[in-house]
Parts: sequence; structure tokens; C-alpha cells
Amino acid sequence: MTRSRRIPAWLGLLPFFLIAFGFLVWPAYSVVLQAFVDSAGAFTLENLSAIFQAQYRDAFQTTAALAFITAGIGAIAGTIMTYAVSVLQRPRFLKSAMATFSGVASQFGGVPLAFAFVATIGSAGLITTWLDDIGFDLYGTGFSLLSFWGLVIVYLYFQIPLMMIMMSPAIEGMRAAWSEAAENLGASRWQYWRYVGIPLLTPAILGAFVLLFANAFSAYATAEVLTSGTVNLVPIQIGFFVQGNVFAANSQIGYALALGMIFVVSGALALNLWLQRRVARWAQ
Amino acid sequence: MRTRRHIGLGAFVIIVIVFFAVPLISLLVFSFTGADGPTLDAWSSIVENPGFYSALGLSLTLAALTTIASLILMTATVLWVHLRAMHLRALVEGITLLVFAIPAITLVIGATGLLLGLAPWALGSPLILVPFYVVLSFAFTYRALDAGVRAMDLQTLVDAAQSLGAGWTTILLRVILPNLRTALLGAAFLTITVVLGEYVLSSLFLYETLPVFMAEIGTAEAQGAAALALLTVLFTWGLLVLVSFVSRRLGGGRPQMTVVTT
Repeated sequence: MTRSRRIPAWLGLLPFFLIAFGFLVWPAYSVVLQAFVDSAGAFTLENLSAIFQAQYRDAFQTTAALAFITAGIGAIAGTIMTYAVSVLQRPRFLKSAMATFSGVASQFGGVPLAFAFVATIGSAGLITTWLDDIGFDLYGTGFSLLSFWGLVIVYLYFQIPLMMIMMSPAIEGMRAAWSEAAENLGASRWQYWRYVGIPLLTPAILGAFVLLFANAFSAYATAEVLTSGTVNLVPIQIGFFVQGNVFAANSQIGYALALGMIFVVSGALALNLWLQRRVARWAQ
Repeated sequence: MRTRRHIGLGAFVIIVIVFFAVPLISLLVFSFTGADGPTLDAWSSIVENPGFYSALGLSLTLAALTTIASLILMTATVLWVHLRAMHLRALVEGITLLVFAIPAITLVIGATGLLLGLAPWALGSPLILVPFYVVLSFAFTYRALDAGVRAMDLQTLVDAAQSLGAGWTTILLRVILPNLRTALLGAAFLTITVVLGEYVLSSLFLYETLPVFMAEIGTAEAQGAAALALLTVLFTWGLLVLVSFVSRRLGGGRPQMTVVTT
């Protein structure tokens, strides 16, 4: 018919495929490949076994703990927030304000976020000095912004809004009829949540939780700027290898760390897809 | 009973809102704080720093180039998928989501190794960042544009235009693109925020974009970095308000502007 019909379907997508291949798939494939060879190019499993050395094993554990804790708190706080916004009638503007806000706050990450917290609870931050004025020495308690728990607080700033964005379809989808039916059958509020609400929301919450986990596990900028390596995280360790800031005899270990990271993050995403399918089953 | 339950929820909402508001207020106050009281020092040192202008220029240039490249590539891709290659739609969408499975830092180590081996000259220009930024914004641009195309009846519009004798250029410029305006706007907004905030690639490829400059001055003068962080936040929000306003005027509904993808 028309002239364009003669062009094979895949040809129109060639530019997209080429860019995706050259700047995403190929570098990722190179990580996998390099993780299994030594610097001379011969096959080896030594890089991978090196990530079980104390220093790197500790990095994976710390990163996983950071991701798990911030995803956990973020998931719970984000779910309650979303629920609260959906049931609170006043103030009227709350719902639309929170929707806009969670969209905006989840974009607020990286370097600016790091300095927002330096300005707040850094050693000369506003809250730190204010607490000092009323006689409470925050840093005297052993707390530091540039520590594991400091990072937990900072990460919650993007984890909670992200959770709210992901949970609002599921929470909006909870029908008032369900809680009314439970109430009519004599269920208490607690029983409604225990036997109806929470079980129904569980797949959605878990799906969002693993996404938050992957999100925190991959984060680099905020942690790098704040701690510059004092908290032992996998992305920061990989950064050291890229900068050539390692005294390890084997510079190929960086690729093995990156492979481990891709493995964890894509595993979390696969779990999310599986859970989403379960959500879709009852959401219809 | 009902109200008592809501008091607890209301208190929780207030605590969370305070948690989100305080760092922003702190940024503002902190950027005007000196050793002895309020001062404009942090702001004036930024304005007087030539590094600020070159970093700003580089970030804006990269944002403009990436947005243009990304919109052209992804509009063509999404339209082609819908008109000619629906059977490849899942594959294309899967590729755009792959970005999330490959954290930026792992992309950096893989790409650095390849580029040093194959084309070390490519690392000599900050323009090397553009194709990577196009890839990093894939998921956002794809979803925004795909939603835009699905919101109109593309095939019917094309058939109608063709039966009236329109050629492909006319169809694209006078039928399709006007209908995609809000989607394009949303996609452009997301691409710009991705590029302006990007730190991992630019810092490790050693290019002084705005976030890299911010991190650098932050080590010596936290107040200056706070001023810059505040500027970045206000700029992003201003852009968001502008995009929402313009798309409401265009009447195309709210463009997809959130970062969540699944």
C-alpha cells in the first residue's frame, strides 16, 4: 500500500536498539564478562571469590542493611501516610497537596538532598545548633549525620514519598464497602485490618518494598557526598575502583562487585514484577 | 470513635510533614548563616565564583542536548511501535525498564572499561554524557510518550488524515505532534530533572556539572553548597509549576511526571 509498508517493522526501531545496546546493554555485558576474567583476559573465578573478603562482604551487608531498614521504615510510614491522606477529609487541600508534594519530593535526591541534611542535622546544622541552645548535645550522644544511621534518616526523605506514589493506587482501590461489610458483621477496627485490609494490601506493600530496597541499594550520590567512604557501601567501593583509588592488586574486583550489585538489584525487580502480578489479580 | 482514630493519623501526618519541611527551611536559613549572624556571604561567593557559571553552562547544555535527542528518538520509537511494530512493544518497554536493573554506578564501571579500551578520545568531551543521559531517561520518556499516544486514537487519526490526502510530514506535524504536546512536555521535564541532578556519571567521568561543583564547594563551605542546593530545588519546582500550568492551558490533562515506573 503506502511506501512505508515496505520498511521492515524492526528497522524503524534500529536507532533505539542501537543506543540501548551501545550505552546500556554492552556496558552491562562488559561488567559480567570482566567479572570472570583476570587483567590479562584469562578466565578466573578469583574476582568473584574476592567479594567474600571481609571488606567487601561487609560492604554488601552494610548496603543491604541500609536498603532493608530504609525500605522497611519507608514502606510502613509511606503506607500509613497514603492511608491517612485518603481518609482525612480536612484540610481539603491535603490530598492534592500531598500528591504534588510526593511527586516533587521523590525527585529531590542526590547532592542537593545531602546538603539539605548537612544544613539540618550536620555538625553545624540548624537543628543541631538549636538543640545545643536548649541544652541537648546531639553529637555528644554519638550520633553523626555522616554515619550509617545518618544515612538512614536522609534516605527516608526519598523513600517515603516514593512509597506514597506507589501505594496510592492500591489504597484508593480499597473499597469503603469492605470496611462497612466487616463492621456490619461485627468486626472491630483491628479485626478489619488484621483479616481484611492488611492481607489485601500485602502484595502491593511487598512489591513496593522491594522496589524501595533496590532504589536504596543502587543509590550512590547522596552517600558519596555525605560520607565520602566512611560508611562501607558497595556503590562507593565500585566508585573507588573507577577512580583508581584502590590499592588492591586485583583491579578486576570492581567488576565482580558491580556484578553482585546488578544481581541483587535485578533480583529485587524480578520479585517486584512477580508480586505485581499478584496485585493485579484482585485489583480488577 | 471516628474522630479519635483520626487524631492519631492527623498527628502522624503532621510529624511526616515536619520531617519533610525542616530540611528545606534549614537550607534557606543555613545559606544565610555566617559565623556571627546573618550574612549574604555564601550567596555572593557563589555569584562571584566563575566555576559556578561554567558548571551551570555545562549542565544546561547537557540538559538541552539530551532533551532534544531523547524526545526525537523516543517519539519516533513510540510512534513506530504503535503504528508498525505492536508485536515489539513488550521488548521496547522491557529495554526501557532495564535501566533500573543496572544501577548507574555499574553502568559507569562497565562503560569506563569499554571506552578506555576502544575509544579513549570519547572520554575527552563532556558530550559523551549525552547518550548515557538519553539512556538514563529512557523509562521516563517512554512512559510519558506511550501514555500520550494511548490517550489519542493514533491509528484512526492517521487513517483519517491519509484519506483526506495528507502526507506523512503533514500527519506528523499537524496531527500527531499537536496531540502529543502535554506528553512531550512531561517527558522533557523528566529528562531535564534527570540531567540536572545527575552526579554518578559526571563525577566519575570527571566533568564539572552543577551537582559535581556543588559537592566540591560543599567540602570547604557548606553554606555555599546549601545556597546552590536551594537554587536547584527552587528551579526544579518552578519548572514543575510551569509545566503543569502550560499543560493545563493546552488542555491535555496532567502529563505523567512522577519517577515511579512499575
